[in-house]
Amino acid sequence: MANLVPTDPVKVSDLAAAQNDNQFVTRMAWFTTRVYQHLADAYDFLIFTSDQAALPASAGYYGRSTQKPQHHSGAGLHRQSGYDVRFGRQAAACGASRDS
Amino acid sequence: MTFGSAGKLQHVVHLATADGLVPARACTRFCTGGPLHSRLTDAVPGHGIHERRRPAGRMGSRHTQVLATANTPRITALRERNGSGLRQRRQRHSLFAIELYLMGLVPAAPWQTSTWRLARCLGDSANGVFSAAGMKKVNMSDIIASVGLRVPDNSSSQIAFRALSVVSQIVRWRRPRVEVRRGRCRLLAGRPSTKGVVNFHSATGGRASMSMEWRARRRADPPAFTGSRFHAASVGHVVLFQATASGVPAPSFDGSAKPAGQST
Repeated sequence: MANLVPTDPVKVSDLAAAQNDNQFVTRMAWFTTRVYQHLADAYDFLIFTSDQAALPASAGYYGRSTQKPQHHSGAGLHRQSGYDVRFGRQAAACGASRDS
Repeated sequence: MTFGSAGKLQHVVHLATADGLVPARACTRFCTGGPLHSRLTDAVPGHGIHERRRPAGRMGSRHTQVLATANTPRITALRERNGSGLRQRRQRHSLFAIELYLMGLVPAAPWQTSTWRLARCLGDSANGVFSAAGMKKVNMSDIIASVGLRVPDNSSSQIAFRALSVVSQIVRWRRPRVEVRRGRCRLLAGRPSTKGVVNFHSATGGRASMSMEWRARRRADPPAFTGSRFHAASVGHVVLFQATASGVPAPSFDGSAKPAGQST
C-alpha cells in the first residue's frame, strides 16, 4: 500500500497557477513521480490534461512543455537544465514559444 | 530534474484545458521546438519564435491551416472542410526539413531554409489567430555552424515514441467521454485514416511513429489508483485521475494494479 497524497498534495489545476518556473517544475515532478510509482518507465512523453472547459484566470498558458536534458547533441538544447516552452494566452496561439 | 524517470522520459506536457491543443502537433513540436527556439531567442532576447505556417486546431480537426504573408503581422487561420464550398488548398502537415533534421529523421541539408515568426504573439488560439512583429529566415547551415551536426544522425536516432496521456478529472468522466478521449489518442498514435487529420505520423511524413499500445484495452483495466482524493482507471495507456475536494483522508494504492509495462 502506497500513499498517493503527501502532506502537501498538489492538484493538476495548480500547475497553471504556479508562481514561477521552479514551482511549476516541482509540482509537475510530483505528478510524474506518482505516475512512475505505478507505471513503467517506458514513455517518451507524459501529457497531463486538466479537465476544465475554460482556462483559469490565473493560468498564463494553454499548454506548457518541460523538456528533459537529452542525450543527443547538435540541436542547441540546453543540456544542463532542459528546456521549457509555453503556448497559449500569454505566449503563442496554437504554437510554442519561449517565455523569456 | 528527473521527474521520476530513469532516462526514458523526454518531455512532460501540461494542457490547461480539457479540449487541449493538438497532441500530435504538440509532441512533434516538443521534439524540435525547444532547441531551435532556444538558439534563436538567444539572438533576439525577449521574443518567441513562431513558424510561419502551422496546421492549427484541435486533434482531429480537418483541413485547418494557418495562413500568413511575410508582410502582414497578423496571421489568421482558415478552416476548410470538404464540401464546404471553400477553396481547397494544399494541406502541408509535414514539419519543416529543419525540424525533421533536429528530430534526427532526415540527413543534414545545409541549404534548407525556413521562415519563422518573431516576437511574442497574442490572439485567439481556438482560431489560430496571433500577431507577430516580424519574420526571420533560419538556415540549417547556421544551426550546424553554431551547435554542430546532430548526433546521433538520422541513421540511428530514435524513430519510435511512446506517449502517456494523463487526464485530471474534476468530475468523473462517463464512458462516452472516455471514448472520445481514447479516439483522439488513437488518432495521435496511428496512421491518419481521414485525409487532413494531423497526427504524429503525418507530421513526420511517416518517418517516425507514436505508440499508444491499445492492446492493453483487451486486458482487465486495473484500478491503478484508488481513494477519495484521487481516482484513476487505466484505459489503454490513457490514465484518468480524479481530483476531488481537498481535506479528505489520504487515499491508498491498490497493490493489485499492474504497471503498464508488465501488462503488455
